[in-house]
Amino acid sequence: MEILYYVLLSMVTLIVIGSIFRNRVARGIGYIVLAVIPLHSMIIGGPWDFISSMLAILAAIVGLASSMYTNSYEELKYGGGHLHILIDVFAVAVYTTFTAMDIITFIVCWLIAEIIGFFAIVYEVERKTLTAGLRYIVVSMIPSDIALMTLLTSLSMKVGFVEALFTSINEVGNLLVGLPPILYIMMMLGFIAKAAVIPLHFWLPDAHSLAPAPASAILSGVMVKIGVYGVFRILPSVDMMYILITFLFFGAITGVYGGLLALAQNDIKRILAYSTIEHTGLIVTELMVYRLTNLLIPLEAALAIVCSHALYKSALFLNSGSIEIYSHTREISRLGYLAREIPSEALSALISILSLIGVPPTIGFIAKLFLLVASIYYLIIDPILGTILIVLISFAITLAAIYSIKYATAYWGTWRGGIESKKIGMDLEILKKKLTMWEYIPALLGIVGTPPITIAIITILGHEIVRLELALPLFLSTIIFLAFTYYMYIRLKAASRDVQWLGGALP
Amino acid sequence: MILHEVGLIPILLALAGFITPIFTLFTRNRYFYSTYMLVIAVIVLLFSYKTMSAVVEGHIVVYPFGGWPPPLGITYTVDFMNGVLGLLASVLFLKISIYSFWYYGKITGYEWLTTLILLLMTGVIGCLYTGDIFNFFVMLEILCVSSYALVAFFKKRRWAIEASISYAFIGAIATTFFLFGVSFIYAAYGTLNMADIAAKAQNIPLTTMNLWSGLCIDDICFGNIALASVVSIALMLWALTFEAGLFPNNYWLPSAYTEAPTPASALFAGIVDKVGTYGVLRVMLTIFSSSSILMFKVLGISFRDLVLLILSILGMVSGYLGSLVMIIQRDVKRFLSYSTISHIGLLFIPFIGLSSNYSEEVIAKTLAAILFHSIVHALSESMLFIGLGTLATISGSRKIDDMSGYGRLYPIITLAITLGLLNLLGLAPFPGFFSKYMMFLPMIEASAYLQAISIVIISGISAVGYFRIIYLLFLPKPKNIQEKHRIVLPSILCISVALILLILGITYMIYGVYDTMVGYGKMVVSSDGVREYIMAVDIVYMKLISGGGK
Amino acid sequence: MGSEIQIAMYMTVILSLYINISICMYGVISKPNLIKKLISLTILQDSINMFLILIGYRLWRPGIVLQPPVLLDWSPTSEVLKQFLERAVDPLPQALVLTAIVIGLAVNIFLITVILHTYRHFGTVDMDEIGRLKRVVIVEETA
Repeated sequence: MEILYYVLLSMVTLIVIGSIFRNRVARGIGYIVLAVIPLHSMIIGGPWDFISSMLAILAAIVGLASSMYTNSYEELKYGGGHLHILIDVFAVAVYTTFTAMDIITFIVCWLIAEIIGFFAIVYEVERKTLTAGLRYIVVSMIPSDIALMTLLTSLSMKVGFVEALFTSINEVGNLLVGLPPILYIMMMLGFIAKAAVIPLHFWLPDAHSLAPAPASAILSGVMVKIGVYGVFRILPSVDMMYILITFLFFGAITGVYGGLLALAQNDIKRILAYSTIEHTGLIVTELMVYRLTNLLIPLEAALAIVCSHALYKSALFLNSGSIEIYSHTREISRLGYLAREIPSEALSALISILSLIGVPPTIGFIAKLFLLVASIYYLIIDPILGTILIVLISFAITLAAIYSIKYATAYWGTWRGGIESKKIGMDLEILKKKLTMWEYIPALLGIVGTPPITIAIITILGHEIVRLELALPLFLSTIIFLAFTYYMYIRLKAASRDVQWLGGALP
Repeated sequence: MILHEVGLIPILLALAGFITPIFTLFTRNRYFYSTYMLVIAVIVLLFSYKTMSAVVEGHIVVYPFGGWPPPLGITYTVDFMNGVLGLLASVLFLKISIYSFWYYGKITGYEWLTTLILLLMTGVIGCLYTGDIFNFFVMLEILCVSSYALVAFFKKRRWAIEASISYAFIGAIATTFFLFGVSFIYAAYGTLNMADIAAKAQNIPLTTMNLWSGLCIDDICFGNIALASVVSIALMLWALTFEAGLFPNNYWLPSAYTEAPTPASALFAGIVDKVGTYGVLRVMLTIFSSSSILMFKVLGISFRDLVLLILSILGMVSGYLGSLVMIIQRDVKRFLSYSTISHIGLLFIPFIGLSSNYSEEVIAKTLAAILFHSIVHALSESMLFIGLGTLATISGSRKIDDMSGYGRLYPIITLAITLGLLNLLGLAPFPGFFSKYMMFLPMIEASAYLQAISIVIISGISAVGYFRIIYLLFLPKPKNIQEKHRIVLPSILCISVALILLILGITYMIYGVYDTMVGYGKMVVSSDGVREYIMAVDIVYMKLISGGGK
Repeated sequence: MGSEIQIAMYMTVILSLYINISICMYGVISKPNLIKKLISLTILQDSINMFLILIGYRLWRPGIVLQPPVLLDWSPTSEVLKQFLERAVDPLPQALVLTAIVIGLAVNIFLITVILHTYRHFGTVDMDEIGRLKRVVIVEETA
């Protein structure tokens, strides 16, 4: 095995030990090194290809943010407990699934991540969480176990039993050609059950909204990407048109379904959960388009959505956790005054929401741009299906914009409660120091990371459309955007001290 | 080859079992009985290890009792299938005898428990190693009577007596009908030796056994063997699936396993149901194998394949039933017995891969999967019974809620229990994952997709139950904090079994255990393998005449 | 005796054994009283043992002198032995039946003891009532 892999394993051990002893420095160092290793592999060269490395970096970043966040979260919400061990082991398990080099490590880490995911969902034991956990097991865990077993079986039918266990992940797609279609269907259904696409999607809203906030961040941010990763790995071997087109439509319909249902929710975490369903549906659609047309643009679109979604969704989930701690409620109809009370949280939420809507120059904008360009390419290739697809995709994008504004009304909305419930009285400085600063890590990376991520996706996939004329406007717009948001923040802070404030009725 | 150790094991166990009541006149010291059982267990383990190493070298071990040639005398025939299960039985016996050092301090009447366990092991090893079908009946009866008595051991508890009554009545009928089936076989074939019956059923010419039991001409030996085989299969399979615990014969299993004392429950869940499975395998694979008289067509498929298909469907039903009912249990031993029912269902699901229309490769892989899953399930389920039984004994009640939070008071044994539960769930890198995968693989190759998916779904449903126990043991605070009991010995035992399981899983990948097992499976199931089994018994007469030896 | 009558008698014996076995099965399964179950089980075991002995029975062929198969010589020659063997019944099922009778004895003694204990615990030997009590216990044990 590579020397890099040993470094990786030692960092994992460091994180786990640091977690048991509640040491922040050890964990921080561990996560940062874990983020650097795949970066090194991407740029200089290493055993992991681009997609694994990118997903692993995302896992490390989300893990870092959630892990640091959990320390204060569990003190403030539960008064102690062992949530941080759960979160750390969970993040590490997801990370090692992405950086697994052979099939057996992949399966072992996948199973461990699934089981820890269950324990994270049922962390607060009540009837609701137990039902959600049960649904998670039946709808998500069992089909993905079937998919993993089918994957192993198909491999051992090709190369023999022991070699199948140690096959390298990169070659799985090439080895699996020529199997009966039922096996492909079982594998794809299992993997998209993990990624929560119709028809096996209905476990996600309850599971992600009832888990504690940092666990939801990891679950929504990176664990649904495991399913997408599995689909990506077996994709080169599937060449039956009807399978690809069926899953294309599953993905697109999921996008619209998630968006529509997100509009109707009152619980802020449920809005975010349905938004996750929408985005994974779009990712799966784009992967299918990539396989159908063999263009690179859909793949770039899928990767960009993966990146942007991981970053802003985890930031938003951590944000919703802070809202829950500050105001002890999760219903939008009782919130709305928060921009006035906690402006730092509002700023972080604003950055993530802008990324979700797709305002340039956030990474969300790049993702939506690639999405629409890919749909137009597909429209040229296949007019009928392309038309249906572009209608559904643009509908989904619009819905994303609408429900993210609905989430924003938690901060800038009309506050309808009584005066008493406004005086919760938590010290703002403690809040900012303990919780908010960790949310900024993914949120800011969503903006600052736009140029590197875009350039990385385009060049490493070999597209070569990067030119100076494109880079310069992006850079300039980033600066303007940052200046604008800072101005908004200053105005917010000023507005919270006097009566004039932006929008909404006075309490 | 003729090995004397094979014959010594059941004799030693039976003798030891019958001498024990005499010892009660002299001593009542519990360490004496535990040491006694431990010594016997070690000797039995050494003997069965020696037998197994002879089998692994490629011989089929035959032991004619009393020097009488088969089919006049009773022979014990050991090939890979029963060698592996015999070794497993002795390992479980060793585990129980180590546990008894701690357990005998908690109960009274342990000298009778020793007697009964020794007799139970006699029945188990006799059933596993025997090569004569009436001897199988006798050993099955010894096993059954000992297990009736073991279930009723705590005779002051009313539900133990009730469990024993409902088990014993139907068990007595089932084994009586087994005798009825054996009588049909004797009436038609004229012989009781398994190898001889196999040869006559498959029309393989023999050299020496024909001298005693006559030749068969064209389907008529002493009587019409086709009809007789069908009737006897029906009767024998009832008794065997009753002992194995397959739906619908498993109504007795939860009550019986719950009320028996912990070492006996561990033995029941570990090896007694495997005896039933082994009986079905031996009957369907060696005696009535693919080229035998049972292959006449009924409704378009051959009768033997129809039987295997029905067994597979019953396996699926009992798997689902076991795992679904397991989730709502509150009594921990009842929980484990429903888990056993679902795993026995999992053992019977791959039986469809043994049908004759699949290649020998697939049949060998199926057999290897069934044997490996038997081993893994036996080790982990008996360890779970020991661990959770210990916790039940020291908490004074069998309800799961009364044991909540014990994970913090007794961390080592709870860690072992968690590892055992994760193994049964099928988490890699435990061998539980590999055994389920080994069962999944030939199902896909045989295009039996429903069975393959059922295996994974049943494991997933049982996950809910197992997670509940893990959660209840670890996370809540313990209710009534009394003084900590000393459970050093069971903790060490359980954690060493858990470590052995982990090491088994890891070496499985590295040392190619799969290919060896499939190779041995081929030795058993292929037509050459069956022929070798028969011939090995056949030439015993020659060996005995030429001066008894290897 | 004509061979049809012989075959008819043979068939009657076998048929009556089968009817016996079915009545015993009915008795063990349907009758709620434990003592009746035990009695049916005993008769069942005996019928099956009788069936096993019947298998070893050898019909006398016509023309043989009507003599029971007994050997009166202390040191028989091979001729006498051959004649004896033509008349003798198969001894193996009788050995099997001896084993089965002893096993049945052990099982029956155990069952009688357990029935005694059941009566002492529950005060009744009616399986229906015991089953009702058990159902109550099971329901309150689960869920």
